[in-house]
Amino acid sequence: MAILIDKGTRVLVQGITGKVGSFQTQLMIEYGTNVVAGVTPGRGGQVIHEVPVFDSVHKAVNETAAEASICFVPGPFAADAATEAIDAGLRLVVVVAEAVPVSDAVKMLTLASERKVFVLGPDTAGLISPGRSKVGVQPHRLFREGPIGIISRSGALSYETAKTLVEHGIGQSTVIGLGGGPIWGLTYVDALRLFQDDEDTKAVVLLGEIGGYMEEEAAEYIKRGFSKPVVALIVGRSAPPGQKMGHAGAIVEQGRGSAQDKITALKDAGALIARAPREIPDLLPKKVRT
Amino acid sequence: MLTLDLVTDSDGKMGVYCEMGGEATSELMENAMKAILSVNSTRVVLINLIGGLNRMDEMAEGITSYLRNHPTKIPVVIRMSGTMEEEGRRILSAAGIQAYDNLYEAVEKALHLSR
Repeated sequence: MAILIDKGTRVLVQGITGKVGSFQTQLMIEYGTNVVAGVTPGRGGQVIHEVPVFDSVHKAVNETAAEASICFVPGPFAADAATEAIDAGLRLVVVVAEAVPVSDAVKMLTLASERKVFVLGPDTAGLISPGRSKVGVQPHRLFREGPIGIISRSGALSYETAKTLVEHGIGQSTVIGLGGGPIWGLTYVDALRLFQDDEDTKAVVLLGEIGGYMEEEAAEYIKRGFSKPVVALIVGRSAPPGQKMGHAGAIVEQGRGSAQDKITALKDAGALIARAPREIPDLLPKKVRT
Repeated sequence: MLTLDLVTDSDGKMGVYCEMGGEATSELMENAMKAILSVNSTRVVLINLIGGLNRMDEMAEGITSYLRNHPTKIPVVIRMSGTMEEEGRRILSAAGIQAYDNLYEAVEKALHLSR
């Protein structure tokens, strides 16, 4: 199976009655995601895209046995909503909102780690296991089932990479968006651990960007004995220092987090380095190019 | 940021750089074009859109609305892929604009026009 989600995964959508939540739910259902419930406080009893809406996550979980949530609640309220989902016993929570206050996000992620709940984000595209399920906002026509695991902070960069791989006849097992930062639930190391144990994943593409040191930690983990081939691409090589590049976490500060540091660390760990998505197919081992 | 790296790798020079973020609206797109075209040194505008959360129909509305109200001689090169792409392309082509599907071709075209 793929990691974190599979065909039957029972998905709940928080903020399902909002414009974005409703539209993206429709796309997930079209793709085959098993959306079993929606939650919007005050809208319990409604039905949207044939999905029952509940007032609270607890109620939705009791009625539908939902296992995973994708949360479209906007930034200022997103952490509260996600915390409710963590507390209700879901095992995976995807937080799409940008601009979640850092103090709220820290509280949410602390509870998640106590409860051993996987959180993706904030500011994430979520995840897709092509041909099986999508708990995210990916343009799924660009993806195809296959042996490559992709981990990316940027949603757009993961779409671009999947599109390129598919154009070369290479599909994906699971594609994970970690989020724009500056703090993250699931990290590269967590995702690599999951891919290590996944039989369907034969190689991993690690898509990183400037800022923070998650990629450096991934390099250390790979060096300690990650057994599958890794191809890495770090964007922001030409970004000016001290400038936030779109994502809150994409900034080179006090000499830390530069693209070159990350590239050096990953190369040293044995990863092959691509400078653009179009270089990735040739760097993947021949046996995974189906 | 990939776009910035690709332009720089080909010895192009980015004058102004703007990230749209997720949940971008047509108004935001329009404002981004206004901001970028208000910089006098801008010779070419390269718009790279690959949308998940962002809808290509909304982006196309923003682009065509801006150009309708502020006709410009500065070339605008667009790459469009992703959510609601078909509708986005329909809106663009109704305004006489073609968009690339391939990012590298769009970057090459923009660099060519800037020289």
